[in-house]
Amino acid sequence: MICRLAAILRNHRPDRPNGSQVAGRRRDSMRSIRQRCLYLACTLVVTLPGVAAGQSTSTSMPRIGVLAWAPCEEAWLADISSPFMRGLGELGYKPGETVTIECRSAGRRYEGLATAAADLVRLPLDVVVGDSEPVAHAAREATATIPIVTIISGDPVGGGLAHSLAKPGGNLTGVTYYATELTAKRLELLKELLPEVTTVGVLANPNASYMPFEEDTKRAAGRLGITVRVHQVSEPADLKGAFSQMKAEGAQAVFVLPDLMFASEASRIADLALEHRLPTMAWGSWFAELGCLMAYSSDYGAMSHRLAFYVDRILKGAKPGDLPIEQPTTFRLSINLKTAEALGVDVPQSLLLLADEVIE
Amino acid sequence: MQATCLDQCCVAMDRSRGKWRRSLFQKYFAVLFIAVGVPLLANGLGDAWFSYRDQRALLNTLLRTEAASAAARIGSFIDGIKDQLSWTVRQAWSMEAQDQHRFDALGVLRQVPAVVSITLVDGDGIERLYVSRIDLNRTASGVDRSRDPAVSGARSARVWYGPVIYYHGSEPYMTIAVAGNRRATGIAVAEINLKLIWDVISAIQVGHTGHAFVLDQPGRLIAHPDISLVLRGTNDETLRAMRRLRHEIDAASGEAITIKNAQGETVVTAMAAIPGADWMVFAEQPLSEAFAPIRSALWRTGGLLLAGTAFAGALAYWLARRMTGPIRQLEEGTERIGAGQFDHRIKIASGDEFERLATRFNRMAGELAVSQERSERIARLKRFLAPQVAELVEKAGDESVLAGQRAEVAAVFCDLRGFTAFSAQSGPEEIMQVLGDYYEALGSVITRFEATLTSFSGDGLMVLVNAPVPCADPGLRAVEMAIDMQKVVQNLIGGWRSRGYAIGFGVGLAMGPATVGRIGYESRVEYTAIGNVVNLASRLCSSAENEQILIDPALAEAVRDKLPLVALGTRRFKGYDKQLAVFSVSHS
Repeated sequence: MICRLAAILRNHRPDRPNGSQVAGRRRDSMRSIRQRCLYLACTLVVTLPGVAAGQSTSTSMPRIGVLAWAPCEEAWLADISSPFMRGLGELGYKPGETVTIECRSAGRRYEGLATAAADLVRLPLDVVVGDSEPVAHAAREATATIPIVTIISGDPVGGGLAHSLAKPGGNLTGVTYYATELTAKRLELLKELLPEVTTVGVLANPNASYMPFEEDTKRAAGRLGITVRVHQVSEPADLKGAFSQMKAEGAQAVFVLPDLMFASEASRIADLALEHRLPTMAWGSWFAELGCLMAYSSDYGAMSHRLAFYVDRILKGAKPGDLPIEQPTTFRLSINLKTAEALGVDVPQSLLLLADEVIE
Repeated sequence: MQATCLDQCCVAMDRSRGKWRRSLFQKYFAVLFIAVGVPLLANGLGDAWFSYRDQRALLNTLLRTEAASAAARIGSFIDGIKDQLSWTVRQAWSMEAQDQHRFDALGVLRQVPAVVSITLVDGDGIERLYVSRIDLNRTASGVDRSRDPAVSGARSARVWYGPVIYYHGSEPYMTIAVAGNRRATGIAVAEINLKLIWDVISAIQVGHTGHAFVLDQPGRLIAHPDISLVLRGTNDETLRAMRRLRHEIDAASGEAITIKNAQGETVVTAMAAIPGADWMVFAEQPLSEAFAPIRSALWRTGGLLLAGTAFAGALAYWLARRMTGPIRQLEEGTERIGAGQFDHRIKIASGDEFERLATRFNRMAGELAVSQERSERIARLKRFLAPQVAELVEKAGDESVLAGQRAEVAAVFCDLRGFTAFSAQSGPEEIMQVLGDYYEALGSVITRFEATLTSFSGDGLMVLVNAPVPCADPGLRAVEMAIDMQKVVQNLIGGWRSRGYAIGFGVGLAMGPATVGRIGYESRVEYTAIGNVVNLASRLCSSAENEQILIDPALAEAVRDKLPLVALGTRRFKGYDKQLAVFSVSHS
């Protein structure tokens, strides 16, 4: 317990998604294996009382399944202090007492998602919760009956996850955000930060290539007069090489496309960017918090908090197909001034004016 | 036969009386109950009705106030956006002002989360700047927007509110355009995400479970605490229902109305307009909750009515019992007194007319008892008084005539000679036959002479003349009576002798003062005379032979001129010191 609390105090902020934790863990990668095991044992016992209690509690207690990218004990959604759990608490649910939380992890691998989803839906669940587009797809493929509540990155109608926003129709609903629409906006913001920029290195994961991020980026780059070079990285180990290559190609900045692996490697990306003196534009605000220069996206905290509302409605008998998919209303621009100073970048007044979060 | 009829009559009387008693009780009970219950009921119902009306009026006011306040809050949400936008149209467009305009626009984006994008247009309607949260910004695009309804609308009315547009058929958006105070400052056109009204609308609570929602001009849902209802879009059916709701409230001239809402719940709804945007805010509260105070007031009234009715019933029962109870007691008393129980008393201590009536009854019973006692006594007296005397006593109403007094009386004693010997050798039938004939004969004589038979014992009897009723010439009357006695008895003796009975009859009379009056105790009372004259008459009777009538000198003196007497010389009588002259009356 004490060790977990210490970890939370050290690493966690309520509105920070799984990537931050993962990154936090990575940052402490110098820790000995023994320490790490102790930590894991500790978190397993404490953070997921629902998993432990799940076997013994009565079936009348609602069961929520969390499909996580990161290991369950580090999974953002399953954490007791995450906005989602806070939302459940506000609606009167107490994990382990009035609601059981089950968690299955993909082990930070795209290949692991399908297995984890299949594993999860074998349990007698009332609802499956996910926090990203790939998770949504994996859950959707695993079950067509158990309601799924998730954050959807792209266009849920175009992606075949729902019939319409107003009436999704199937067993999936949740919150969507303008992941692809915002690609151009991010590039525009990068250009506003660095008006002289002409060449930008793009970090893309081929595992997420079914999303139109690359095309969007290229189209926006054309409009903004920027040359982009896309670097496909599917393993964390390849990041270092990609950065070296970008630097060698004369890239003036790095543009990180949305991807789960990048999200969990945010800290390493920030470190590499600083190492290579490359200003980085990413999406989730935790990137900026972990050292990237700038990040812009819908408010992940608000979105995952909103998921609790859907879970509550479904547990109270609403059909997921009847619950309209919501679009985000709040956006967060985060700027890390420490990084800017380290890179010798002058942040224009207009950007500071727009920023919701400035890290000094 | 007679007894049977009497029994039947009594049964009939009992039955009718029972019925009468019940109905009287019922009548009293009904009247008293109505007297208390009806005003109570009327008051309770009136109270309930007025409290219902008051509550209804209160509810109407409350809901209208809620609707107005919700309208004001949503109005201020819109006004807030409008006010923020007006910052972007302060300065005229010039090269120097370009950056200032941009900062202003970005400031609005920073300040107002609901604003998705801002387009700034100069005085000629040319787009100068476009900033967005999502799309790429544009600077000096030069597009002519003067024909945009937003631009032309704002130009003519300073502020222009566009229609609500549902993005992807789900999320409500609208456009607000604000013009500066001069043409040169241009116009700001902002795209607003109306979903953010949710923060405002969900904070509005009507009662405990009531809420508010917003409709636009065509009747589409813009804001509702259940955001899903808004995002699901408004279908034709809902649209018609919403229009009908608006129409009905208009028809009720703005009063709150009771209606079934989209969720099929019966609610009370009031409406208020949001100025500017031409929207309507509806405040609705479930009927069950809205009428909860009315319902509890009705329950309270009902409870009070029930308690009041029970009290009225108890009071009526008590009063009716109090009325009929004494009546029954009186009835029973009358019956018992009628049956001769004059000592029965009716005990009523109600302190009212009933008690007075009972007192009268008791007094009457007492008087009846006295009167009965008197008549009984008179009947008793009649036995030893001559019928005329008895009548006199009866007429006098009391027995004062029989009171002890000194009077000049003639005492007459008579008995049979040889009766003891006869009775010793004769059977009871013969003895009683003889005595019966004897008394019958003497009785008629005594009655004829209006004399008073004071006592008789065996064959001897004593008769008084001139007491208690005085008569003229008592001496003569006594002697004449004695002669008649001898005459009737001697007739009997003739018969007796023929049957072999050796019986004779002698009479003795004396006259003089004696004490006369009633003696005895309780029911055994007799009228008698005490004095020398009685003893003397008795002694004379004892010394008289058969057929002889012996009288004392006083009597002899009184009748000397009227009847033939024979002086028998003097005789000595037991108890008398001197010898007394004795006379015999000649008869036959």
